[in-house]
Amino acid sequence: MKKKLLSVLLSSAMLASVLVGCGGNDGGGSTAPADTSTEAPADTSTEAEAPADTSTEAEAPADTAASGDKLYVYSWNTELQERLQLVLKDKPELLDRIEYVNVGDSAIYQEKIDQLLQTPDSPDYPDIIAFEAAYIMKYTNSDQTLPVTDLGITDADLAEMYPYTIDVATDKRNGSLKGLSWQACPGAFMYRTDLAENLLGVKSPEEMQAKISTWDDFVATAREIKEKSNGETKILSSNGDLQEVFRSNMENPWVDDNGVFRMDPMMEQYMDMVKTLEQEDLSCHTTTWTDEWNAGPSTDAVFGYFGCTWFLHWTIKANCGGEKVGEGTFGLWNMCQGPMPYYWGGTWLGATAGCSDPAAAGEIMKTLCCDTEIMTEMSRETLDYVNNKTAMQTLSDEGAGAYDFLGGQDFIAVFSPLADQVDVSFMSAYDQKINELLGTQITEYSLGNKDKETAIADFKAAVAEAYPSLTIE
Amino acid sequence: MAKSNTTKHKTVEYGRYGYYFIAPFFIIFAIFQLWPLIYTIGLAFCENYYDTMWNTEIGPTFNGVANFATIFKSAEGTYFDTYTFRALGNTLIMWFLNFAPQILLALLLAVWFTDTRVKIKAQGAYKVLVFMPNIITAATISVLFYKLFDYPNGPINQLFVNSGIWAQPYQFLATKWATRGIISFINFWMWYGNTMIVLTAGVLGISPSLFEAARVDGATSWEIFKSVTLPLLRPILLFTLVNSAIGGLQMYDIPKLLTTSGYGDPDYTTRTITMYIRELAFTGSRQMGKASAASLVLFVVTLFFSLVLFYIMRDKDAIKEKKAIKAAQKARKGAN
Repeated sequence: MKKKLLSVLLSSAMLASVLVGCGGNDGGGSTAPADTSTEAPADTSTEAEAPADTSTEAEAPADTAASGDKLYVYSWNTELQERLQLVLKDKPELLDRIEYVNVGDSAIYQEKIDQLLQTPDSPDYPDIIAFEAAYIMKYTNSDQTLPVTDLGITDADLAEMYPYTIDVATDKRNGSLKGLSWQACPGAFMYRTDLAENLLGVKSPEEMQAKISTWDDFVATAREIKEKSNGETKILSSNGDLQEVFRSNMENPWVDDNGVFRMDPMMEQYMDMVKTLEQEDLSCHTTTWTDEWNAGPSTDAVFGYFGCTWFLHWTIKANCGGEKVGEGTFGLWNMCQGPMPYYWGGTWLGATAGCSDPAAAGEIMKTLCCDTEIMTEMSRETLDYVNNKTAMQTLSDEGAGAYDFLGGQDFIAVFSPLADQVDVSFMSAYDQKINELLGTQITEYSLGNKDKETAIADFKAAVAEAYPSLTIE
Repeated sequence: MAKSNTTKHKTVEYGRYGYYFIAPFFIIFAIFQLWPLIYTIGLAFCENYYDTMWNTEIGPTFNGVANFATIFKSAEGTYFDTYTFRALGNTLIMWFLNFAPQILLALLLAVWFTDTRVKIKAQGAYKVLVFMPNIITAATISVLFYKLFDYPNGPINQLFVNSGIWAQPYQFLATKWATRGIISFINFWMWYGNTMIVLTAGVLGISPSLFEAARVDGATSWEIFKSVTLPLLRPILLFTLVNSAIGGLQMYDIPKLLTTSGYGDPDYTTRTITMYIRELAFTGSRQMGKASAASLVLFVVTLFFSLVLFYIMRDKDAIKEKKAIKAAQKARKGAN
């Protein structure tokens, strides 16, 4: 009898240990992202490159508060976290409740979110999610996000926003607005003033604009730069740098409302442009977002980039190799519009269908995206181009746009007219995946491994494979 | 058994406790492996994907073998000319390219390291060096090779261009066979040490007296290898082959991480079947149904290869002997 008891005890202990093991893993999975969370003091510097792995010491106070009160905010980098800390510093009761989860990689973000949204009971079910332009429609056109009116946000709160930021986040089914953005992201061509003067004899943004006002001019200028610099400098770093410009000017979205996919003539033109750059050796042949590409702004190898408002700070300035005039290429940049107006990226916030506290989520979104005063302040500190016309006008009138990184050029004056022109009719919920599929074929075409017809046919086949419910034309 | 012993007045059934101890494994297995397995088979016959436009789930509803039809037949109606079979083909090519040299080198090293006459000095150091790559994670090695073969300014390109051997840097990772070759090489380099250790164990398991007897009879090294080592190593070789075939068909981490996009650049020529299944299930329309069907195809292919290997490596002499005995028994019966 004793032996039996002992064996039952032992085996149950073993079973328990195995199950605990599982539970432990589960817990590990859900708490790991929390390492990147911060309810850290709000006075952390908001200048770029805040520490990615901020303290875990903040977890202790969070646990003493009722844990059900936490608001899970999901994003893929630290940008939103820094903005939230900045705008909510006067509302610590909200800031303390935010459990910021940095997924860390934009590429796997959707997969992570899709899985979480299927488990409304899980403790780390998101309350607020950040969206990128390339896939926001997938979420706003579904029942997985709440209309902002349910969060206590009124039409009056939206008055200062650029209309395109509202168009993008509006549910196509019933016209309700599902997401808000705190930034507007018109794009421009950013180039090195010293190289422009030495190689092209260009002295002002107006002269530069004249050199690249059409795509033919652009290619001619690219050849001139290569020739005059003996191949030391190329107009672009990667062929893919042009992608957003062409994409913004597509005649139709990849997929229309009836589920019909069409190849766009603008993207065919893009394929040819990439091929020209590749075959004539007019770019540095890097790949966007790689280390080598990131190193571009600090060297003389790259003449310019197509970039937008956040790109200026987060990419070029962060990689220019200096922090004040005289260091690296700091101060040696200017902007002009480029061959076509375009728009790139931006981050929206949306509350999930199962959001635990819509009022608090609404309060957070309202503070970050609608409050003119706070947004003016935020733009002054971070140089973000905020999604608030009055705020940008105020700053422009103050002359706050003169930017030492651009050698004193007023970035607000460049971006403001472009922000009004942004048209987002080219966007669809399918963009990210379809653009990836196109990228694969463009590489093949530009290297001369395929002719254009084959590349387009293969592209269409790949789209059909990824989205079997679409009609391919 | 226990019942037949009822005449004994008391027995302790120790066997029962054994079941208690192994129960946890079976419970965990049933929940986390068996049920998903059965569920996958079910899903393979269902239409189940997400409509991206509204992000809503379609299905799962039973649709017969429609998933398999799209896997076996292309839109133009040709059989086997589909992404699934291209991915399978890539996997097999890269597996073969890494496995053939791997087993040969491992066998050679195993024989050398165990040969009592060759007596290599500092054997331990060699073994450690050979096994070392296996300790590093595949992810790290992939990133290392990705950097090495970077274009246009990776170390390999710099080496060849700066030394004047090449006029232009070479786009390794945009060339089909170069990328496949690199992936195969990484797999080969990571795993030949492991294979060598398994084979060494196998060779050491052979009775030394056999080698001695062969040597006394004047056999050359090659003859000993061919007629003593290889036949006696067969069970271990079979194990290595089957193991490697299963592992090779599931190749994932290195090709996934070596290419920039992670989708088997260039032009899906290094996309393995597991990468493809993951892509189906978690990107685009998240086609769970078709991904399950592709998984079943992978299962059948794996089974097929294992059975073929078992058949090729079967012990022909033993089977012959068995047959002879049976025939003899029959003959005797017939005579009676």
